[in-house]
Amino acid sequence: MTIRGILQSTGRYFVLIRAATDIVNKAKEIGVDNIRTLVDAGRSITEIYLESCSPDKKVQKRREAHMLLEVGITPEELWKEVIRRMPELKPIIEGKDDYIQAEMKKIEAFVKGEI
Amino acid sequence: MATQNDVLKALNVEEAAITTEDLAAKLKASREGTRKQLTRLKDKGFVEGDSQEGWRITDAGKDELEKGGIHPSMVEEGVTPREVFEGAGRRIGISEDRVVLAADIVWRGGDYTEIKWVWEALRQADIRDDLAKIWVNWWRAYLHKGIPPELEKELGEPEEEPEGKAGAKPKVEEGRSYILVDDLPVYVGKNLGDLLYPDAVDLARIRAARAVRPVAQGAVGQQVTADDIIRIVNAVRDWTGASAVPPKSYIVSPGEEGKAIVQEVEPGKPLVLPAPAASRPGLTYLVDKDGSVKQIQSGEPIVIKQEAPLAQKTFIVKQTTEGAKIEELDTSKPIIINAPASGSGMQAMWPFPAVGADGKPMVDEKGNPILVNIEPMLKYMGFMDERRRSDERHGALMGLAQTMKENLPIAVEAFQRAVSEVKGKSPEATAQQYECGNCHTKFTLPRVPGEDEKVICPKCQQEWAGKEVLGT
Repeated sequence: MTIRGILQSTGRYFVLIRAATDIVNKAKEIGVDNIRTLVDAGRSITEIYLESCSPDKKVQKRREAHMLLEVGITPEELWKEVIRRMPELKPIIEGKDDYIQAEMKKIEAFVKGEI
Repeated sequence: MATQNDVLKALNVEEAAITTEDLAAKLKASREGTRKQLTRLKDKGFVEGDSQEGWRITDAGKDELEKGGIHPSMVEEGVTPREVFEGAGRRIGISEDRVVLAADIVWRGGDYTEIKWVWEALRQADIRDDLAKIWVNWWRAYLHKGIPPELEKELGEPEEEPEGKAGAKPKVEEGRSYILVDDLPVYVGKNLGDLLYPDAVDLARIRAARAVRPVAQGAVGQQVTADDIIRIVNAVRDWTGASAVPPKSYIVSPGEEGKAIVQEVEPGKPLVLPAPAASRPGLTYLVDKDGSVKQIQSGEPIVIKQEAPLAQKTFIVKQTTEGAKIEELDTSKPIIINAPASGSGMQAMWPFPAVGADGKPMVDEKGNPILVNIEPMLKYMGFMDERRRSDERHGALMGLAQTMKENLPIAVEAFQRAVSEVKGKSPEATAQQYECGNCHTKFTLPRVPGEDEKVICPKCQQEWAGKEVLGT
């Protein structure tokens, strides 16, 4: 890999880690217990979060999501990074594939500007 | 609105404090306007008190009145043309609501400087003709405008019974009833103007003389005197620009119907004065280039000596170590310009001609151009520019440093993971090793910890702050 390739890879990881750190910080604000309650009740965390965002904030988040897609980071990859940085989230969502799929679709719809 | 002088005078005769309302009533002014003036006077220290306690004149105010009263500008008085107009209406004795109504119509319906419209507006406001006439005439005088021809009958003086025959000379109005409009005397109502009739005529004549062209016939409608001739010649000189062209000589001879003829005498060319015609009696004068006047007889030859034109001098400005030096140019010698030595580090600072407020170059008593050394100013401006750039650079660097500080752990981690990807190892394999300060066990972390995060030693379970770990 050339130096250029290393720099590109560094940039990709930078964007990924930064986005994952933001999510982790937000998850810490909400609290692991609250997240567990919401997931168990089948409530979408993505939806609750987006409802609390101002239109400007939504635009900013959508722009950040586009940047992730541009550098080739998939929602699954981002989710994996979040779990890596906050392992306590792993047991909460373990075995809840439907919930995760639904969350991914909501994120996709948000990035497309549908919600 | 009453003036500040009026307010001071009114307070000066009061023995006790007076309320704003009472004072406004005494001045026949609005309460709001009087309060504004009182506030302005209070700021200057000429009055004391307030709307609750009442107002009193201070010693400083009394002193000011003794000196002749204060004369604030229109801006200081806070007077608008509308307030002036309304104030005049109140002084005439028109009721407050009618004054406001009339002013509303004048200001909203047309141009308040058009006398014809103002008259029409006052009629629309149902102001009595006699009061409207006074009001409009006052306003006309305030604006320095004459009576419009359409309103001569309404606004002019009532016509007197004809005493003489038709075509008699119109009676000249007495008092300061005239103003000058386009250099012509205009009657603006009895005692409503700035000038007496003779003064207005004289002033108009002087101004007209200034506009006389040298080849035109002098149009002085009176017997020509030596003073008149000098005045005409000076006016001609002013017009042609005495400093730009050499002085000329003129002959002033009597013309038709008491008028004067001004004729320029060509230098070097003899001129013989013809005998005066019987219809044009009077004396003929010669005004020479120095401005002196002498009487000349018919048949007397006149020759104006031709003078060699003054050679224009050329000056060279030299920049020396002692400053700028001016030298007269010797046309027989070549001009050699020494180029500054390269690499000397000295900038050639050419002197800059000083320009006056009129936009013309300034000259000293001898007529030499005044030069200014602008080097210190340029250095100061350069210093200011450099300082501004330095401040901006510092701000940008600080912003960049802050961003780097905030994202440095992320960048480091991203770089480590990119490198581990290249090596084909897991991120943990290339991750930075940390050593516990307590049990000296070496361990790695899945990621770079944040400054406020806690790191636990896997062996002795000692807790370390993120700051301490990053510092090691």
